[in-house]
Amino acid sequence: MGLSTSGINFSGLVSGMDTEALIQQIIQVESRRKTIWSTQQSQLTQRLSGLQALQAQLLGFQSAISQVTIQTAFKTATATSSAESVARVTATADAIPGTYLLEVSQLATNHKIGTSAQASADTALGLSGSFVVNGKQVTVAASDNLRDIAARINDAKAGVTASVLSVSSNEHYLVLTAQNSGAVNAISLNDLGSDNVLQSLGLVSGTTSIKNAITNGAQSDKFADTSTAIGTLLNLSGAPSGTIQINGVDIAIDLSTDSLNSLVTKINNAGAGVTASVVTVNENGSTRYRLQITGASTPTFTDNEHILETLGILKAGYGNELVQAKDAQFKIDNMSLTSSSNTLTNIIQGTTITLLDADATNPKKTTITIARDTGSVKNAIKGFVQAYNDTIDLIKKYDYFDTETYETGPLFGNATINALTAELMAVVSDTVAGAPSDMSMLAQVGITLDPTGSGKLVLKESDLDNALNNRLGDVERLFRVMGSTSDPRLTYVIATGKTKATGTPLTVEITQVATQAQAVASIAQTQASTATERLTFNGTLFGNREYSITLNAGNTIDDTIAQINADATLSRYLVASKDENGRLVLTSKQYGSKAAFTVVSDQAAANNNSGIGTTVLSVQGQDVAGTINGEPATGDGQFLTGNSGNATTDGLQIRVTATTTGIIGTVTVTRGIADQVFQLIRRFTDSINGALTDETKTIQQQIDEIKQRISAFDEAMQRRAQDLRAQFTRMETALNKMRSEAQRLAAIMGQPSLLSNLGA
Amino acid sequence: MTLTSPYDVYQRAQVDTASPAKLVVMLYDGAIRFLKQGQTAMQQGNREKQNHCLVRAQRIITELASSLDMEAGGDIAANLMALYQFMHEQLVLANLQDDVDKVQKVREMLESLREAWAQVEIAVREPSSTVVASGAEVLHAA
Repeated sequence: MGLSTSGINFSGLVSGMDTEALIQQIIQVESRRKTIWSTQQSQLTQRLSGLQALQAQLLGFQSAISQVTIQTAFKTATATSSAESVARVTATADAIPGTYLLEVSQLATNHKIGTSAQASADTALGLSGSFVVNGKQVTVAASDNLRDIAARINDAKAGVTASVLSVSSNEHYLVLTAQNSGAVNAISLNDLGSDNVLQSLGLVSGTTSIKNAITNGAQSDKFADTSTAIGTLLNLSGAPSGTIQINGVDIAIDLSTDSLNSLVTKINNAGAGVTASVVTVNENGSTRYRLQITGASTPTFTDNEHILETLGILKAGYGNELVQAKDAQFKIDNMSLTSSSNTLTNIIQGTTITLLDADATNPKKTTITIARDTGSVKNAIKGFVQAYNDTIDLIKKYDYFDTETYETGPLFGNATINALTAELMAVVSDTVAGAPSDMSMLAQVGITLDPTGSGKLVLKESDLDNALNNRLGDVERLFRVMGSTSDPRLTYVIATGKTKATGTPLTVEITQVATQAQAVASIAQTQASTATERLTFNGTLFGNREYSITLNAGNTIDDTIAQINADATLSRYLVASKDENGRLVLTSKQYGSKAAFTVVSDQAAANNNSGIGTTVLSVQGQDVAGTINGEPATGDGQFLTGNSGNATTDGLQIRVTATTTGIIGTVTVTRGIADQVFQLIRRFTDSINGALTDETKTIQQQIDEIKQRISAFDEAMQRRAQDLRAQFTRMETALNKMRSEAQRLAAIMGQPSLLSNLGA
Repeated sequence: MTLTSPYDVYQRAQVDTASPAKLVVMLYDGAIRFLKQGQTAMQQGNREKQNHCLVRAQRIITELASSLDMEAGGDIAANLMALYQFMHEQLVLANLQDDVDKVQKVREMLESLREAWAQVEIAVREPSSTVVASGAEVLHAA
């Protein structure tokens, strides 16, 4: 008999019982616990899905809230132009409501000049030589055709676009168009030396006139320097030289060697009855120089090799001026204005106006109206109400109790959800501390809790419209977190969720004012420098990366100041100036301890250099210090922030521009309803300790535990089945033994009935 | 009837035929693109565009959060939900406070997560690593 106690079982061979079915029955009874766990698991899973749906809904709610609490929500403006054919207008949030009459008498135009007609665009013109377009030298070769010349001009990147206009197969023009409009962007052209390429092309005529007229004389264009050769300053290769005449008197000039200074000497020594001098002019913070020539009356100038044109004393007439370079001329509310461009940015604050039509005799008129766009605020508020109601709906979907079927939702009775719902309803019915009493509740702008008790908000649009049209500022306070100060030296910057918005004035006391870092040279520079000088900067202000500037040889203190202030990198961080003793002063733009920098020169301080010297100057600003509402605050530059953990001012940031210590004034913070709801949701959804987050984690853990329990139980049950099988097998073995024994006994005793009693 | 540009058609075709993992990567790409545009708008002081872009990114993150399959995804899905919540909140705050750094931080988080999803997407396409694929696909329900 092959009875086995291992893997293979022979069910009931001896006993005749279906032992496997018996085992399954036993296991099934014992597994009833598992069914309970599985039910629990599916309930928990439903709860988890509900929580997840709620969390996603709350994200959307926060987005909707932010559309009401964002800075620009209440500042959107609409701008309209009564005659869109005359001018179009767009407005940004900074625009101020008002009506303006715009009258346009002239549009700005882009200067356009052409050559005389050319028979071919593709045949070499046989012109060679150089000319200057807007200060950029262009050189053409005899083999160039009209298109080649256009390409060379475009390559010079002189703010001019050159193109070839073909009117017919044998009539072609090279047309130069200024890239920017306005009189200031008129195209400047002059030939160089005796090549006369421009004149041959017909771009300029043979006649010249004074370019920059002054009383009884003329002045040159602006140059960067008085002692460097003009040809070098203009970056000319082959600068012209020759003999010009002033009042008929010959003066020999070579622009490859003559500087403004040497020209002054030559002209004054020529005995031409004129006085030459160099004057300084300021151009965007840099010093520039002009040569001025004056006589008893305006002198006569005779050019040679286009020397006077190159200097900008004379200019050549245009050969074929297609469009003049004109400025836009217009009036706003009767005030006459001009602009080089037809796009007027911020002429009316916060607007961009595009001029489209003009008339010199009967100016084209349009009325520009800027109005607050309450439509977009209204939409944002409606979005807030909608998102609130959607959230309530979603909660109901998972948290319900059916009084007839006694069916409950997966989140029914959930303490976290109950708390969230209760707090949401409390906040939207609450008042805003510090707001005027007739504008401190949502109900006062037409937003009330549904009287049927659904927990949803109901919006009465006419009430909201009324409030938006008449009390926009108060409506804003009702929704957003806002701050105001009692003194212009204090500016409210921001409040966090932890700031308690009491709506009462909080006193600001300053014990230390914010300062900039300031390095002062030890010696005042009184003479122009004789060599270049290298200043090296470093420190926190420069991101701890070294930066150097090489000051030009020949610099005066003013040149050095101009050079530093014109440097793209340095001007980002600091401002150069001189103090009352004439010493160079370098002041950080930034305030506070982070505005620390060092500066050192490669030359010992002297009266013919910057005076910074070879000892490293290390300077640092100081941060503002003080208290808000008597609570400690931390300064960073001019910004003062209430310390974390403060009862009232945690996270409240103000900017302090005061230069004296003491009590400066007060700051008042109010927190509107939308922001309160936002903070409430933040508390619940905080990714670290939010109640909903905790709840999710707990359920997740419970599910994991149940899963483990079930799998542990399944294993246990498998062992149990094996045990039972082993037991039954042993029983069968025992029965088999007994049966053999019984057969033997029966044979001995002659009683076969014994066998049947044993079930054999 | 509105005109549909070929690009829109192409985009829709991409969305319609994409696998769940690919869709997730595309959503991430969209969010990252809006954040980049939002950052530029912020730096230029263009509040309107800033708001538009950041809200679009918020919507995508909300979409990602609601498509998470918490049941199948287990701990990883729960952690992702926490990340989505965090990023969403940072974006809302960044928009309110004009805080470019917050946007940058979220963008970096999205970019590194996007890389992880892109790996998953490759695994989905290449059957040799189906284990990773099936594990990942359950996180975001199709």
